[in-house]
Amino acid sequence: MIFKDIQAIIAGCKDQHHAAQKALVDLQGDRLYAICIRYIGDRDKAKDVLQECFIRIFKYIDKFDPIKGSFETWLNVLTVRQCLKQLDKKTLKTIELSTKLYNEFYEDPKVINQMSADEILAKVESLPEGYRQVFNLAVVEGYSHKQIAKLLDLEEGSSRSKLSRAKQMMRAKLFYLKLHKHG
Amino acid sequence: MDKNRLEQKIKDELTNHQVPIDKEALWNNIHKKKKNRGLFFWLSGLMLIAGMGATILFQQTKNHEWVKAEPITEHKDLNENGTNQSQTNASQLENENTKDADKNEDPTNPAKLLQTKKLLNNQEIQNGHQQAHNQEISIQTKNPSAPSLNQESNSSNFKNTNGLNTQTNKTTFPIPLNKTKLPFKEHNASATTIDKVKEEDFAISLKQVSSIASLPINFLTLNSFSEFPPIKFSPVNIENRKVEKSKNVKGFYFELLGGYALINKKMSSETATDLLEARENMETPLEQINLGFNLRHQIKAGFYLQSGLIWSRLSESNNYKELASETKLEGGHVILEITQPNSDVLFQTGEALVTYDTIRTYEVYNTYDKWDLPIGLGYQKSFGKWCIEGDVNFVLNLNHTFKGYLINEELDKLRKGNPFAKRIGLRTFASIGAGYEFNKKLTLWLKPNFDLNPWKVNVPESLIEQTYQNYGLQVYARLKI
Repeated sequence: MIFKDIQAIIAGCKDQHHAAQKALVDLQGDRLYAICIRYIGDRDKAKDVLQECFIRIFKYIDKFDPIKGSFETWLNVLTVRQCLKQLDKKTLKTIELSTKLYNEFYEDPKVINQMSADEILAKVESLPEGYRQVFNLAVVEGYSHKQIAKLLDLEEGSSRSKLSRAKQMMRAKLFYLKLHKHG
Repeated sequence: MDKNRLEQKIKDELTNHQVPIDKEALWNNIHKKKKNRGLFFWLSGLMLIAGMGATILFQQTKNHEWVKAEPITEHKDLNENGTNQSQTNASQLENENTKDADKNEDPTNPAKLLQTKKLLNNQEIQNGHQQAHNQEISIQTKNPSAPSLNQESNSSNFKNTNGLNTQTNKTTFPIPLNKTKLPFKEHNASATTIDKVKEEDFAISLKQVSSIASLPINFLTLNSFSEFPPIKFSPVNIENRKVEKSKNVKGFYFELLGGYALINKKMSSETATDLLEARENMETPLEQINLGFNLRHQIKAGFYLQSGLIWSRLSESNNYKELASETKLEGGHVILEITQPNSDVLFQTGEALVTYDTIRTYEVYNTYDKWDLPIGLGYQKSFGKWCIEGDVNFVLNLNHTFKGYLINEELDKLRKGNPFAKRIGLRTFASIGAGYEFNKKLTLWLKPNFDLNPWKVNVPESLIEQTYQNYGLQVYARLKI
């Protein structure tokens, strides 16, 4: 049996068909791996988490309801939650950076446009634990602070402050990148 | 505006960004994990069922078959005179017995102590509760119808050919005696004199059992990990900054374990206080070695479940001193008293059965092999390469066997049977320890452990109730699967 389109793959996965599961891994593996890297920050561990994600996806694929959203969104949500499960919530609460950050950067729109996804991902990856997750949830996934606070077991204020600092760090990192690249 | 543009740019770039990964390897790992997970659940379920089955089985099976000291009754009529003598001297014996009884009213009387200990021993044998620790093996029992006849006032210590230290009390019996066969090599007392046991002869020289020294448990000092390393942030050092990440990644682990423990044995009795006192002074703590494996599932937020199979060998080496008696035929004893018409009394001598009361010293080595099924729940925390964890485990005993040896007898005098109860009480233990992650696959752990409850080992109707409690140290090699 050949699984050409996503609907056939989903149907095959619901029947616990190995070929369908393999096809889903082939189709979505790279994308979900990128999400795992963004949240875990370590590529080797991200691979482990990705395996867990797929096992979970195969287990709960019956619960996927196309009326509620697209399959990709469902995969994203499941993957993000799986990544967050690996985090030590206590550590997230205790990490507070007390460093002075550079707020003012000259950001040339041309330079911003030239930034590649890999470069941005590398900078996100290097964000500290706790800040990285808040940044991803807020900026990339578009979660509200209330949702983030609930997911990470934080206070809303803490989520806001972490996001603010994460953004500042990202600017600093990209600024450094910009300096590095352009001189 | 610039800020929003940057964030939008990041979102656009990352939302559907892909990072190539080796799909074949990924799929193979997923497949392997799924298989392992299934295997783990099957094994856990199987072990649980096996444990429950074994427990039920042991509840229903009577496996306390000791090699009992079967009494062999031999009636030897030495001579007719002897028999008649027993009848003619009946009233005289009664008088002497009455005197003895009066003497025995004194609780400090050594003869009474001897009788008490003997009665306890015999009672235990009759009840079939000869446990490994109850080394009061029935030696020989004196015929109750022929008590302390013709006891004389000499006592002697001697060493027999087996090198056993014995003290003797010699009593003549011109009447047939019941003889009980020893479960071990018969003691050849060769005393030729009639001895009377002094108080100190019966006093068992008991060595004090040293109370178990509780093992010091050194907890890993975590102060060095308690603070997050100071962070210096600047555009220049951003690249070099590394933050420790949590290692609470889910997964399955296989671990091999080995350990050593001292077992604190506690005994109690409401009735057999003499026996209890004697045993408390003679018995030493047991030692245990164990080997086994665990399958372990790391679940949410550092918590894990584990189960496996553990083989343990408990051993104890004790020196026992025991009251014993033996009977032998000897000549030269007065067997008949004849009063002549002129009031002269003639004594007729001849062979008579003589019973010697002795104190035997012998060394016993007992081993108990146990197969246990532990089920545990714990919590693990990682700090870089180092980890700490603590867990609580419930241990179901699946099987246990006993072997006992008399060391200073022939080694083939293997004592059979199982002194433990059909079902050893549920054991719960806690352990806390530290581990070091050598690589992604292998972590080595050192974990002191201690039993939370003393677990009962013997049958409920036993004269002396025993409980064991372990204090030990375990080493684990944990492999990620």
